[in-house]
Amino acid sequence: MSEKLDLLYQEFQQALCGSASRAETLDLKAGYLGSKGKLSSILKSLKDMSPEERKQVGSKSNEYKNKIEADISAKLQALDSEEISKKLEKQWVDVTLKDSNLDLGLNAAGYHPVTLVQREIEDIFSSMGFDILDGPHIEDDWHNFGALNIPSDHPARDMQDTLWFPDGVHLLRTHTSPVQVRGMESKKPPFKFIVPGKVFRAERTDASHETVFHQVEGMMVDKNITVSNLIYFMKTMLSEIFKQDVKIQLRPGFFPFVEPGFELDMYTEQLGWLELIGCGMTHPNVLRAGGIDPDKYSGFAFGMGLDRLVMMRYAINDVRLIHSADLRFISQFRSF
Amino acid sequence: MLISLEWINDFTTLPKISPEEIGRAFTRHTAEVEEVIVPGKELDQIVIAEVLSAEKHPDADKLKLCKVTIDGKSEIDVVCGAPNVRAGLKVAYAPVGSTLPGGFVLEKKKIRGVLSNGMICSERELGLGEDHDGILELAADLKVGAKFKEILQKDAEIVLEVDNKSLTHRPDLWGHYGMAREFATIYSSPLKDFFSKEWRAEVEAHYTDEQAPITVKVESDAACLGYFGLSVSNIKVEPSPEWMQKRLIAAGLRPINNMVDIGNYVMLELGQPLHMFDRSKISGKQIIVKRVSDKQNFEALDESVVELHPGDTVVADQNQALVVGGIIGGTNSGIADDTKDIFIEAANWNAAEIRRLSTRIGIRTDSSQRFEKSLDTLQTDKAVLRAAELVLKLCPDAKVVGKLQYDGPDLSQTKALTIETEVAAFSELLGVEVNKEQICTTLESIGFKTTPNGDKLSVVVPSYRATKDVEMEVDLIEEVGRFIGYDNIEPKSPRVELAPTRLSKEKQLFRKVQDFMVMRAHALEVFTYPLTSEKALTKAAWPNSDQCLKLKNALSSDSELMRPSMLPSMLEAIALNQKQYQSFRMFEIGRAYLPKDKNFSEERTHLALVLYSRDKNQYIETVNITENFLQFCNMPAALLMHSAKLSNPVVPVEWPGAHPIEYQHIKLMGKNQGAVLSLHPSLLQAYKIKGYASICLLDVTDFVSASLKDKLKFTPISKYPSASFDCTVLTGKRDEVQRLIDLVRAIGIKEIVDVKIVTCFDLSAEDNAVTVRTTFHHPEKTLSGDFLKDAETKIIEQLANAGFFLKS
Repeated sequence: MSEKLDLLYQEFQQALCGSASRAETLDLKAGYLGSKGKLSSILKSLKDMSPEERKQVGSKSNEYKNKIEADISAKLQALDSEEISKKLEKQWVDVTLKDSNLDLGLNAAGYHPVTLVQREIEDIFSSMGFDILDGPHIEDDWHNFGALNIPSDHPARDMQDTLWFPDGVHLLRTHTSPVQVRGMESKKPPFKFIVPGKVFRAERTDASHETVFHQVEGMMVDKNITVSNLIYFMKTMLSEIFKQDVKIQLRPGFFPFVEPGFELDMYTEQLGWLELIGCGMTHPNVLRAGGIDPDKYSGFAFGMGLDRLVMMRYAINDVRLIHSADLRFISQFRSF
Repeated sequence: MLISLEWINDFTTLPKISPEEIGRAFTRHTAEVEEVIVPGKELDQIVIAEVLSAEKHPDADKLKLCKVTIDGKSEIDVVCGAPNVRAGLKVAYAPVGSTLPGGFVLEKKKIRGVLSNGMICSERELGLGEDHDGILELAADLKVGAKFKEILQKDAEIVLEVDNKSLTHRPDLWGHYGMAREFATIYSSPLKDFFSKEWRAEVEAHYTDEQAPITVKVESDAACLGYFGLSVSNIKVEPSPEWMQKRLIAAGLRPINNMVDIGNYVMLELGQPLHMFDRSKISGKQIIVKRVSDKQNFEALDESVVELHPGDTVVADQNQALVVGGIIGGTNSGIADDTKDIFIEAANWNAAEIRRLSTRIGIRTDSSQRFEKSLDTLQTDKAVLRAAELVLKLCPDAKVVGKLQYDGPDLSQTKALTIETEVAAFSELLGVEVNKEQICTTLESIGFKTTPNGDKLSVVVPSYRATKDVEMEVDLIEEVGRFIGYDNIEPKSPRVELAPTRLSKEKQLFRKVQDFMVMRAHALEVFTYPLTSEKALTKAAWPNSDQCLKLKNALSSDSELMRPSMLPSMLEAIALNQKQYQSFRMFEIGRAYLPKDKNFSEERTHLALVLYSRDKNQYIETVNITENFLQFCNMPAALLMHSAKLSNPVVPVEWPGAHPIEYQHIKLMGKNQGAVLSLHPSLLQAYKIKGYASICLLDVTDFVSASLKDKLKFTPISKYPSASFDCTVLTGKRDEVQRLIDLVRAIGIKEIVDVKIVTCFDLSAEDNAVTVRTTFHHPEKTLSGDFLKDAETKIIEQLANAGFFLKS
């Protein structure tokens, strides 16, 4: 009997080897382990055997039963994974057929370089408690000049070539400074804000001159604001922008809306000395024009060319590119 | 403004340091020095040589073979073409390897077969002048081998070029004497009282008791603040002496003749312009300063014809205008070669009027440039006396006739400006400790008079600083601050109260828009020009370009209008970029400028997003992005199909540039404020744009200023399941799927929570098969089979009634 069991298992193994599908394998399982299966019939015939024989054959049969079950489930697993492999083989995709390999036109997205630098400056000042304002591009004489201590026929008006409208009152703002006036009109001291924005000058354009360009203006008004505070903010701002501890130098500069007025130069190893910022202590006449008592409050103001900073940062050689909408230029600043 | 340091040394003593250092100090304390002009700066390698011999070149008649020495021992062979080269001459020799002005580097070179080791230089080759007829002959006593630069600079004019803009507020700095006052303070070196009482008495001693041949009269309404005149006879017009010419050239003026040069010299010295008349050309015995009553032409010295308007102030004789007051003289009264008798004018003029008139007639002179800065009338007579002194010096036979004539306001009544201040104010504004003594010393040194009284300080402003520049306490603080040196102020953070800082709503929205456009729309941010032209608008077929805001003085007609919309500039940008790229996306947040009866103008903030592709329609994608965008910004908005009845402020009804079908309006907060549209092929053609371009244009101005509540609220997740029903119907080729959705929704079953299209299949030439999925849900119960059956029947009926039958 024992030999018969050995033979039976051999025969099963051969049959299992030949099985090529899940169904065939399950049939095979039924043929041996099913209620009328070959192994089951042997188990059924146990009752007719001697106790000695029954014990021996019984344990051997059970051993083979477990083996067959294990073999079957191993076979099924092998068939499954073979099938998945086949499927995967069929589902092959070219993983290099990605956008970056395809000609999808320009397929670029990103911010204007002026926006990149402007946001950085906004964030620096915002982190120090400054608001960010802007105002109209079309201003009147009072906001652009008069309230800034530049009365009509003042030679300082020559410092900025102004684009006028025919009424002789309205103009395109020549600097962001009129927003100082608007800021003072709308806020109660203490306050501090910066004004990034577009400005306009009647200038012939070339690689370093534009009719339309960007400035950043700043103003702080509080009790006891000093030149020393102004220097602090300028140095902090420039050190943040240039990401190093910059050296700065103040020298006299004339801007009618500040007194004293300064030109601020910055020094870095790479760039040497650069004239960067006009600034000063807000002129009492300007504070008064903005409805602020100069005996109680003092303030500082500064202004600088944003485009110039952008051009320095990215080594841009022509200011006219800024408003060109030329994507050969803009796409070099793509985010992705 | 060019400052000669030698001239400055007439009035104070500059320290013996490099001119660059002096320039830097002036920049730090007074005004920006743009350049330090040192003659021969580039001539570092040039040395003094002696010509030992000069023989004729064997193969060239005009060339000479020279032997020169620069150490008195060794001989160097040089070929020279100058006719004046000869043995024994001291010359400027440029050795091989030296760089000459203009960047030319000298090399060893064979000239007609003979090797030349370097060059003997002419004036022009050294950049010192125009002379190139021969080599520069130097003084015989010069030491061989010495640096030419040092010899050159021993008596050359070193000039500082000061930025005129930084002198706008300083009328006192438009002459060397005023500049010297600054240097004297910077270097704590005394300022010579060059124009003392004694000096004045000495010049006045030349006055005679005769009746002045020309008297002066200033009409009270004229733009003249005071007019001085002095007659001098028997002068001789000739070139001015070399020392005077040298200084004029150094300061940037061309010498003309001694009389004109004296006028210029005094102007450069004192900052007060003068005018020299040929007295024989003045008709009558009086100079009258008046406003002209008629329009007239005036022939100016520069040979231009000036149109004078009634009210312009002129200097006239009894017949005609001789000078446009303070600006330019006429051809009819100037100094000529045969002039014998002169009349010297020194006057002061109303600064604003000078500026206005010179701007109007387009003539800016050294004179008008100074008068428009507000000169001090109290300094005016000094200039006449100085001029008279120089005339008498240059023309020993000349005689003053009569006395100095004056008309104008009574100058003795001029009241000095006194500013009351406190010592503490200086430290308080500068943020650095400044004591009383520092304040007083500094102010006294630049001509202010200080009277301390405890903590208070009374400061008298000198008249030449009081015309405009110095008015109040802060002006005094600036004077002290700049001389103390701003470098000495330590940066310090102010002590302020903390308050939350947030970006403004507008700023937040702008950033959100930019972020969305980059991240989701996958677009590049561009800036286009806010200025446009009639031509550009016409090309874009933009209506009513005549109603745009127009500039008065645009530099070109290409940029004389304020853009009424960003569309035209975006079109230009598409046209530009489609030449390079087969597809791209770009956006701009910018302004449109509209005329307004009230407040003159209105600026609207617009967003423009452009999708361009050479071969694929971009409209649906633009719509999808727009819908996402409106949602992302929490904008209460909807898209409306375009119809003839709908108007839109961002797209004029008359504009033919919009696509007839691919056109929807964006209704934002109840008003049409934008559009999503494709550009009309014929418009694209006008720009030679090939392909498809769609644009989303939205005016966000009202949205920025509106305060909308955040209504977002969570609804508990329902316990009851949803059911859905799919049905496939046949539709015509031109039926929009929106119709099916609307029909199902119109049934009005409140349990229908969603209607969506699953597929749209191109069935045959006539029909599409569209599968519509309707989703049912009730928040409080499971929907019964009967209910669903009933609802499904209603849907099928509703669609069939509209002609959409179930696909069999």
